[in-house]
Amino acid sequence: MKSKEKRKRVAWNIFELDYKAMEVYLEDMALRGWMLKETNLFYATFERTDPKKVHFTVDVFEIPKYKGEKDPVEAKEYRDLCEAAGWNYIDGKGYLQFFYSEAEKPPKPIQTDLETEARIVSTSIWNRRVASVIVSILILTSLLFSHFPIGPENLMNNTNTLLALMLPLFWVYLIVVLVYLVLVRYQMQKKVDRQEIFESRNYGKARKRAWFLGVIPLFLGVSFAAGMLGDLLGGNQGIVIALVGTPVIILATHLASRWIQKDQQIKNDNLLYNGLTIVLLLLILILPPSMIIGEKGRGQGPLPEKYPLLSGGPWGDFEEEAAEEFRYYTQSSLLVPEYYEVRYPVNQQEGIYNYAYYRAISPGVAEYLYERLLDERGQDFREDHPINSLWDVERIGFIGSRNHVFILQDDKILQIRGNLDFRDEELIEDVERLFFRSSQQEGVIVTSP
Amino acid sequence: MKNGQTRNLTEPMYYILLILTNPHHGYGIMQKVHTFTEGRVEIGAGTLYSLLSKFTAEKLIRIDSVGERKKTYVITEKGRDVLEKEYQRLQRLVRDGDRILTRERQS
Repeated sequence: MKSKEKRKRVAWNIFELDYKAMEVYLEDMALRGWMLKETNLFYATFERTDPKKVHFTVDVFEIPKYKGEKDPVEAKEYRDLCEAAGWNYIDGKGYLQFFYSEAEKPPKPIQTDLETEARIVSTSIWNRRVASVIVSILILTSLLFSHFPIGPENLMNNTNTLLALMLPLFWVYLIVVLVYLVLVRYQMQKKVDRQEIFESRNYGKARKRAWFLGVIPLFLGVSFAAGMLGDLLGGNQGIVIALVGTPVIILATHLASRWIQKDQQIKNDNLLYNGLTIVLLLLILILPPSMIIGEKGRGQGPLPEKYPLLSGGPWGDFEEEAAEEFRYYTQSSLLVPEYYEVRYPVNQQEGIYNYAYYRAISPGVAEYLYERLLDERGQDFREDHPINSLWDVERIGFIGSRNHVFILQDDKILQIRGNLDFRDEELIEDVERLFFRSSQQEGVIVTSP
Repeated sequence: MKNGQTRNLTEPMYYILLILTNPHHGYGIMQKVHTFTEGRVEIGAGTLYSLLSKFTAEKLIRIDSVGERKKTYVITEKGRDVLEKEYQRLQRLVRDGDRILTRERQS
């Protein structure tokens, strides 16, 4: 016969401000033979016991304003008082402290003054949550301004594409959370004014509320992770390293400050912790990702055979000795599955030219990308410009001194920069044949006739 | 009174200060308030802890002695002033109530 499970862990799918609903849940678990043994920020651990009626109380304790000490003397004093009053301490989860009593009649409540309780909840949980939501809204608002319309860089990898698409959704989500927090505080104050008790809340409703407000960040998190995984598998490690690097450094800061304070027995280490965090965050903000991950963090070196190398004729002769300076970069995303960029010196007299090729998932996306590329500094050639009659393409545009040309055809874009004559028939023939007529470019190298 | 400091005392605040005219430890305060008010005013452990911290920070009470697991607290001069003022205020309230309610009863 299968042995009965003795311990189990259950994730806390509930907001801290709904802590009163936890009491109902814990009492229900005890009645079903599961007694709370320990808890942390993420889950509660239950141990199998005989089903029994147990009273639980979850209280908010104002942790003194220093971090690190696992069990400050103030917390011990508070627990001793609660235990003397008949409440047995189980464990703590951040500000939340869990107590139980097996007495038939529950002991006196831990909080008996509504105003004091409301003040503790406000300073310990509510103020911090509101502050973090407001800061997040401000950061997101500035990101929204910088990410819209979605620029070419963001379209070139899945992580940034998803990030740009999800920013508005996350912004709306944070506004909803802020409204919810304000409503909770308003209701709390109303209860204080009416001298109503903060009764245990409905656990089912609290879970639904947490699910409703939690499903959006979960969806965003899963999509974001999928985007990063896609980039990682697709060879765009740079973006992944840059994004994963930030939380890793924040975690390292936290661990370092914990280690320092443990080593030196520093009690009031707010300054130390905040100082370390600010210094490292500033470092992250100041250092561009390229300094951490190398230039672009993408493929570099000789051009693979599957990509056309433009050389000879109007392009000038590709010089073998310049091969060391030759660079290519590839990237791909769901919206732009094919992209590569080639840079190399043709010869010292003619200077350097480079080109970039994009293939989007649809002509619509390609047109959007083309417009964004031109948005920055360029424009289409005027309809009556002779270049339009020379090129058999949908649109052709340029930037600045007309040595930087953008060509759109179906779902493809070619961007060429260099001292070239874009009215040269040979050049036009090369580009149209290589990039716009053939369905697949396979090891085509243009050489001088 | 400085901003953020206790203004009018709530019932639990009043009784804690009143009981601390003699030194008591935390749980002793809870019991004493219970017996003194014949169970009318109950102070929970969390509420008491929070108020003791607040009063200590505002220098209305101070730690009198520290035992193995218990601290005893006692009211300070400043705390006595606040308590005295609250007592005067409550007396005025009762007197004013008396004046009107007694007159009503007599008429």
